[in-house]
Amino acid sequence: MTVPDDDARPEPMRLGFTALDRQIYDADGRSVGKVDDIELSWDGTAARPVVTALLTGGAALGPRIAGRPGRLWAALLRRLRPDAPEPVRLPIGGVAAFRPAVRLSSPAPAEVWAVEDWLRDHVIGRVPGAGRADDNGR
Amino acid sequence: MAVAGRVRRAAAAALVLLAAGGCVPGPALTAAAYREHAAQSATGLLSAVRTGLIAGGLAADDRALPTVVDTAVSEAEDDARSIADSFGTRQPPHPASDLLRTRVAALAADAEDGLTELRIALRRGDADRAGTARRGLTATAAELESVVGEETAG
Amino acid sequence: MRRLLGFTLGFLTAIGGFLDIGDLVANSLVGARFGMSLAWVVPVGVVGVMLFSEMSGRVAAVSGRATFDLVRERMGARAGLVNLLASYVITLLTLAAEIGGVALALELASSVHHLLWVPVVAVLVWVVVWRLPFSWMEQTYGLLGLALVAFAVALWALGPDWGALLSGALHPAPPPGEAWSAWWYYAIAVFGAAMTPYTVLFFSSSGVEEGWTARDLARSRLNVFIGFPLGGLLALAIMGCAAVLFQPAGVRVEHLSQVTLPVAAALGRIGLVVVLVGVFAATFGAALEAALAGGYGVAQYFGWAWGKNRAPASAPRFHAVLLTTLLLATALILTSLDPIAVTEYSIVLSAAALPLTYLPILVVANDRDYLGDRVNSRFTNILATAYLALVLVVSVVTIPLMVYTKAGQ
Repeated sequence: MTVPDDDARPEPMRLGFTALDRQIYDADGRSVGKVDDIELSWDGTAARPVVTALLTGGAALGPRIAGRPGRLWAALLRRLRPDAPEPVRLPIGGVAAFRPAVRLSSPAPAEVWAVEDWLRDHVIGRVPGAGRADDNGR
Repeated sequence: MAVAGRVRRAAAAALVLLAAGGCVPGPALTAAAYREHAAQSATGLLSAVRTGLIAGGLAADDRALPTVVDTAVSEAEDDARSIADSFGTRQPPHPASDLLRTRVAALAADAEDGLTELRIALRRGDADRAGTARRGLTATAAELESVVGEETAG
Repeated sequence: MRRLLGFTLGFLTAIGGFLDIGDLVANSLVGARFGMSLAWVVPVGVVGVMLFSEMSGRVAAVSGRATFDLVRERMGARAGLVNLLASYVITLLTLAAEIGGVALALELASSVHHLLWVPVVAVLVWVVVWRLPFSWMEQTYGLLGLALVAFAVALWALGPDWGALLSGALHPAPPPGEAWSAWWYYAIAVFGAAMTPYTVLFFSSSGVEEGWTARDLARSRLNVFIGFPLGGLLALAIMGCAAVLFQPAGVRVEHLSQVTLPVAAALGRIGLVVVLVGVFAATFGAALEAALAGGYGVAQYFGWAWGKNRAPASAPRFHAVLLTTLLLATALILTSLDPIAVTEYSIVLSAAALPLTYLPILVVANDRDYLGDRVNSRFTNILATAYLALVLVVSVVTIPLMVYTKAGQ
């Protein structure tokens, strides 16, 4: 997936190389996930599609993996969350840097943490000592 | 990609078949295969008996923890029993193989009994009885060694 | 003093990672059956694991990212996922084998059947991962694992004919009565035991956990270049002990109890106790590493927060994966599969899957985006490419050889 660089664009950006599958950190330095897919929008009037958001989460990853592993992944996900989950959108305006890792200029939206919060509240956080560490991560 | 997947599936199926064919204990079809199996059984029995002898020797010299000796001897006993069972269920392909069958089966029984005897004696701390068991096992080991030598050489 | 403590990371990965249940079983088994004729495989494996561990340590120190964190960025979602699945399955199998190994060591010390120890061991592993600080963990098991030096002392005390051992090592061919196919099959087992992928996975992630920077590079190299050959020497000592005591007697090593007998024969009770402590520490340390490696791999692929150093509540997905991995491995070993058989399969299958671990490391270690001018030297690349070719050949022949020899019978 490359943005066409037919005419004299200032800096061609190879999305597959620069953005896709990169680690995302939010403004607080928390690991949000990987760039699982990229959203391109084209309103029909502009000359070419523009990148509008980075997508992350299992729902974005599944369709990108072709063949058997991808189908297995999609099936597994449907079983875990039957209500057809939407990938999390991170609007491109909120990206402060692409390399070496994607950095957001603000804290990540709450839906990114859905699974993490559920696990913390229902499983991991309930075990004694879950909040103690040498350096508290939060 | 789909072709590769099919090839992989076919290869996996072939592997499973081959593995199953190799593992299922069936009648030994030829006298040579039976001798091969007898030699393998004797090799395994020899290994179990010698393990018991080494562990028993260490116990006699008070050089090892009783727990280690006990585990080693019990495991050797189990090995001997499973080899004896699997050898006993093999059908000798030809009346000419009966002699070999009798000989190895008797040695397998000796090995199993000797190791059982050794285990009992060691658990009771009965040094005399353990000594007797070890002498018996030493004789069994020597005979097993000659079976292994004859059957693998020939 | 701090330097000395830091150095124990090298020992942990050398003894607990290099020497684990796989090495104990493979080297003893091979020594008993083939004498020293497969000794050459140990240095080949040690140089390989040194080469690739140094690379992944360098990636961790310079970029601050674990190697497998970068695999997906470099190789894409699909190749990364295939890689993750393969290395996860192997790591799971290894973890099951290590848990079985710890349980067997406890059985040797107590006469209580190992299956009864398995749940206890699983809980212990989890408690250590949950509570014990990273540095404590590595120091404890690193230092205790050094007790395996008893194998080297035992070999010395057995007073072997060193000339015969050396000449056996210099004549790489199966002894009379053994087939070439079985000999090659066990060469692969020893190789796989030395190059276990979880070691490298753990090594690079632990470098990140310890916050290595470019300044720690020298220390990381020292760990690898001193720690791993030391582990290799101990592996050879284990092989030598079995070659001296078992090969002439016709004993085939099929149990952990047999692995320890040469030490008892040479050094008596004290030596046996020391070696049991060493076996416990090495297998337990390896179980910790394998469990963590499973969690690291999955969390790094998906970009989740990970790390043993963080509060578990701040990395819940990582800890959930870790706990699941531990439960799966425990369930596997509780099916009453023979832990030694699981060990043999785990090392042979990890040999078959080696290219999946080592190719991405080589790719990332040549990436100037992450490493700047610390990318591989030409010499490293030539050597690593040769190893990659070797590992590919091994991976192709392993399964057919496994079928042909009926797993080395």
